[in-house]
Amino acid sequence: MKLFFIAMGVAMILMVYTPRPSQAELYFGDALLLSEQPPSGHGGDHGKQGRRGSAQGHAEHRATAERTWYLNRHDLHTGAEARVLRSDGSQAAGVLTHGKDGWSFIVDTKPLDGSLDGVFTLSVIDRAVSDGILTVRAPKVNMINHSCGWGHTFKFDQERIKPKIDAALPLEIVAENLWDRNFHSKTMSGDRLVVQVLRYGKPAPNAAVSFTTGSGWTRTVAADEEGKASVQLIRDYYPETWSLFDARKQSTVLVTAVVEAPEKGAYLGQSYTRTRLVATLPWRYVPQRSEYTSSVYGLGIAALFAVASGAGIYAYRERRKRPCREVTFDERT
Amino acid sequence: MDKERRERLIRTTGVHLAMEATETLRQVVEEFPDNPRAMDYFYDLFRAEYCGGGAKKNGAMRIGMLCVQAPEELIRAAGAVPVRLCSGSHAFDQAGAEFMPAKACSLVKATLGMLSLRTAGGAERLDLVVNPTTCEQKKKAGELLEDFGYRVHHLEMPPAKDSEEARIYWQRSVKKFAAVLEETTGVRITKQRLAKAIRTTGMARSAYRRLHELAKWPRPLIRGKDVMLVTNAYFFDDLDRWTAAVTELADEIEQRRETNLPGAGKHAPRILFTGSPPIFPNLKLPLLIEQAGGVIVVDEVCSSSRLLHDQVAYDEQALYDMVPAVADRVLKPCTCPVFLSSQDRVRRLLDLAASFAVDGVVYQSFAGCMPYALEQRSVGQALVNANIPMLSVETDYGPDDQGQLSTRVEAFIESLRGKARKRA
Amino acid sequence: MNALRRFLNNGDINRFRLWFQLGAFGLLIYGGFLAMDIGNSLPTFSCVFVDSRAGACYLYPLQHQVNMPWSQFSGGRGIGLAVGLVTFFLFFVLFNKAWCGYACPLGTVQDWITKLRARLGIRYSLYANETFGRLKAIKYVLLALLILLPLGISNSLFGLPKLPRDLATSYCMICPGRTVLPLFTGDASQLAIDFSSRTMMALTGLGMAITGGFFAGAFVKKRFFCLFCPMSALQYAFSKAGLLRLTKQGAKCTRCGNCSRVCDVGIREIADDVTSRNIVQDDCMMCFKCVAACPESHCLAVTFLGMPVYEATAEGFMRRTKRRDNHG
Repeated sequence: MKLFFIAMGVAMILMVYTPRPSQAELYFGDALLLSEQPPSGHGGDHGKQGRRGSAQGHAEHRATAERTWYLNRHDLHTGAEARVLRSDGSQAAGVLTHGKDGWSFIVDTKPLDGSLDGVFTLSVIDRAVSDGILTVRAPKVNMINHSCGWGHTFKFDQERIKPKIDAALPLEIVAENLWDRNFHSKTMSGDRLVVQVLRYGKPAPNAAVSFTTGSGWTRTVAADEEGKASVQLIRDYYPETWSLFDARKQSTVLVTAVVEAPEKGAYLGQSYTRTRLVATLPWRYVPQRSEYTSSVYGLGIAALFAVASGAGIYAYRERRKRPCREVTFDERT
Repeated sequence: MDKERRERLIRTTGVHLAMEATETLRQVVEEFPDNPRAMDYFYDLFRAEYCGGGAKKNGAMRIGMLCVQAPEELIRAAGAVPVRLCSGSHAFDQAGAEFMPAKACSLVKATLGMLSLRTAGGAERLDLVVNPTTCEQKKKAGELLEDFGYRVHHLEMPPAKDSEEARIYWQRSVKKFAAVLEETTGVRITKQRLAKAIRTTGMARSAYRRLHELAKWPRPLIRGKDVMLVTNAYFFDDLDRWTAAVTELADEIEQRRETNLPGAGKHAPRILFTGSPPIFPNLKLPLLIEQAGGVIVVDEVCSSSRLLHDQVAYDEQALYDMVPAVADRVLKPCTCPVFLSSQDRVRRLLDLAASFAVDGVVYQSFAGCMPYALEQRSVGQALVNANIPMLSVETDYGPDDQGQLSTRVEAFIESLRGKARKRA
Repeated sequence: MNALRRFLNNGDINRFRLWFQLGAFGLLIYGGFLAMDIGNSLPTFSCVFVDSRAGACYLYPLQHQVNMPWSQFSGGRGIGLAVGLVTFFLFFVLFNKAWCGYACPLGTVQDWITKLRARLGIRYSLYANETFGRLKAIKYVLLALLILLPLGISNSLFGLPKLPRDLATSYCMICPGRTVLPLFTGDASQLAIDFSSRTMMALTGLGMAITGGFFAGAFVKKRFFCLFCPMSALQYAFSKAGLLRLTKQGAKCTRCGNCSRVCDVGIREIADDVTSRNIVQDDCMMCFKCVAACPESHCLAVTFLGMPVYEATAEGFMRRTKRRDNHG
């Protein structure tokens, strides 16, 4: 009993509040990508109550009426289209508007029922011709639409957490295995991130796929015959001291796929002789669990307490075998 | 006591005991019409025990107990046979008066008288006598028994039963008793043996309970004098034979449900008997009540319902759980007046009075029995509050007050008839 | 009707309970594989850390839901909290504290440990009255903390700085359910110390110490952890409204103590209280062993909406004693 309270007390003392440094600017060059943060960097509507240390503003497991995503650049061209592929496979119109936070992309998520529980695929297609080259930029993002309040009906339904392929996209990056059965994103540093590059739903072999972390580490690989490429995610988070370490710290990795082809044609009256397709998909990952947990210590402590309690009980019982227990008086009073 | 005098005493006591027993049995058997056929087993049993010089005892070790609080399950599990020694014989009462104070209660005097002579009533061969330290007279009896040459185990009892300390003290005391038993009989008390003892005694108690339940029937089905003979037989009879005989009796009674009890119509006042225990052959007061036309439907005495009502329950089939369980059975629900509080006894009486539709209560206290005499006030008050008439009787084993008692009992029963008629 | 009632009263509820617990354990721990989902407000330790669970222990969402600024209590999230509480209440009133005795997976695990101990012939421990009285207060402290700590994350309580976010599910972190129950699905990852922050280190350290104590305690003391369980405290707040009840007719009670003797939690009032009709105590888990051990007809009874479902009878008592002995 006493031990319990002492332990509780020690625990409380240990739980001192540790301030964390604010988020550093991410480095992703000039690629067009969708993000939860507006380009100005000081938080959108959802960012205000953002999770500490989180690169993203959305609370993943909470039902909201709509979600807003932002493009990091202002230079969208006329005719850019926004596409939403919902978890049940249906398509919805995305709304692109330009405001003080730049381009925002608003998605309706039907918060009241759980019918749209699962992964949404949001993408933008932006085309422009300059110097005889058609550049198609197709930033894409996967978003989980889930509330634990809806229950976990789809727990063992992998289809709901498998991003749908949008065959209308000129170039698309499809990542595998991003969520666990409870619809939590599960990627950790050290994991292998596997993506497939598709052109209009068909594998795009030999596409140049780069994986760039927030601090600028980049690795570029060529996609294989099936359009697949993968990389082992490096740890990209080194706080100065242990006390600043945050296990939920989300590092961002941006996957970029580029395909160039000598395709000719005309777009909005301008003819071109080459086509350059750029698709992006940002994803996030947290520090590897094994880096900050220890089963040895855990089992050690449990074993210590089990043995100590067991020994205590045994000793107590042995002592009780003596015929009588003496009554003691407090002589100090 | 010189040898000649002792032999004379043994002889005369034996004759008086047989006379007494014969007379009681005559009244029990012959003064009431149409006794249940299954009662013959018990009539014969008592005839053989008291008038025929005692039944043949088998070879098992015999362990005598002076009060209900010695856990008989342990005795059986240790391979011995428990014998309840409390005697109801006036002849033994007189033998006991030779060395006991005149004001001691008849039951203690008779029991000690019997044990001092070692002739009958189960005292012939005892390997150990267990003496729970209940009332002061029983407590002091222990030392006398040692003087008589018996091996006595004083089973120490707490003076209260509600506190945790009392319970732990008692459990410890019973655990020691278990060790003494093992040492006496040379048989280890194992969990299997104890489980069997709990089951067989439990079945005996269940059989008794069935008989008891039948008395709730709106018309009286069996007389108290017969029930008391049945429960008295439990003192010394073979357990399995007793259970079988009681089951047979209950079966017969159950079949009789549709017919009235001969000689006692449905207006017969229903009596709850409490206080000092009526033990064969001293069925004086119960017989007077039923001769006057009342029917004892239920009792709360340690020779009958208190002896047989409560059951043992244990959680784990292991001695560490079962031994305290059998210890608890004789302490926690016990309504013996030696304990600090009379509340449990009062509650028990009120419940019995209500569930057996009792018209009146007869409270017997033996002259010299302080605990019962002292509790009479609180019990009487509770019964008055519940609007139940009570007759208090102070008596002993002697026949002298027969006439005076019969007048009082008849008047009480008569006064209840109106109430009984209203009820029916 | 009478024949049915007699059949039920003669039954052995302990045997029924043994199988029911096994079924409930399988359902709550593995039900997810059958795509079962009973919701997130279960009044029992259907631990959220078990991936294949069929529903979630209410304490987890409760800690999450109260973790919001005062201003939001009147908004949508406040409604979420209210809906959760009402759902919990509806689940709870149906079976009252029988959730503990019949459904709780952690309780079932403790009962299995008890069976193991009994088989080894090692005697159980009992608390002295006084100790029991002191220990049972702990669950109320834990309940208060598990509501106050999350509140203190989103709000500044008593002028203190806001608490670290790692305290969000502080109770879960020290609950042995989190460490023990996932083991049944082969997941031992919870048996670890999390060094990611001081808070997590303290919580998981405490959690592992409690896990060690849990095994040692449950081995010698029947239903060891239940005395400290904040779910039990939360349930007791609503227990008087329960449809399923344990009732007692004090007049029939001889205070023989059989009920208290077999009580896994060690409740004395069940034997000694002869005035209360509704006899459910805060530590009671409504296993109804007491009813099975009561030899007095109609003294203890299980009622649902006032209808007796299972009653103590002299006949039933004897049948159980006989049957038990035959089964060893």
